[in-house]
Amino acid sequence: MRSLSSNRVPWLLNLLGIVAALVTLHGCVANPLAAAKTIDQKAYALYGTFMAFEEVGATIVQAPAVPEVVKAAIRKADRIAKPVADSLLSALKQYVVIQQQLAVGATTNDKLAIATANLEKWVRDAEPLIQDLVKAVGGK
Amino acid sequence: MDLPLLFAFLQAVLGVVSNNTLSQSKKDSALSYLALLGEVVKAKGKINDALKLLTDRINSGEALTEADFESLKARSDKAHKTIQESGTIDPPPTE
Repeated sequence: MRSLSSNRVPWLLNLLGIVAALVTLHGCVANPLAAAKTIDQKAYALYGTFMAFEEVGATIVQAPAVPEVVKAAIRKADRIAKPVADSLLSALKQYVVIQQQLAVGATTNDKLAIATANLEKWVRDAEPLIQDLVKAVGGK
Repeated sequence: MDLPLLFAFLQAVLGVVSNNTLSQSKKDSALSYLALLGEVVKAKGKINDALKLLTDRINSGEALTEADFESLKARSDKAHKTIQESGTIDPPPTE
């Protein structure tokens, strides 16, 4: 039986690292959307998820080992999702401001109801587009 | 990770670290595959960390602030710019 040559040792170490990382990652993904109970938490979870996958997408599109078809899919999904996600964030900001105003009696419940309906609309619009980006980046 | 992918991965790795029975092109493919897997693992680690932070923040019940919104928007804008600009760079010439 031949012994491993010295130039193969780094590869084995890399292999062990990759396997260890895969084992560690299996089954331990946090889910902010499942944790969200209110509409503002859901909107925050959705935009935060969008941003997280966008940041990883930005790394992936610069990686030489990644095929161009994958990079193109990420670019397309991000281009479509970004304006809707930004509108979602604006609606969330508006909702939080009105909620704070209501707490000090500076606005009415009607205004909060309008802001809530608006936020719900943007959550509905953004969710499938953000899921498309998640899929393009390689999430479930 | 599903089983066919794991099988292909192990096949590729075994090909690289074993003896010289593989052709150079197959070794290069295996090395590229390993590099790609490395990127996937790094990406999954980053996503996991970010999603855990978000989940912890939601579970804390802490109110969202203007600074939270600014930070989210700035990070998204930066990533968006990088992603979109990556499509305008000419690919390296192939042999």
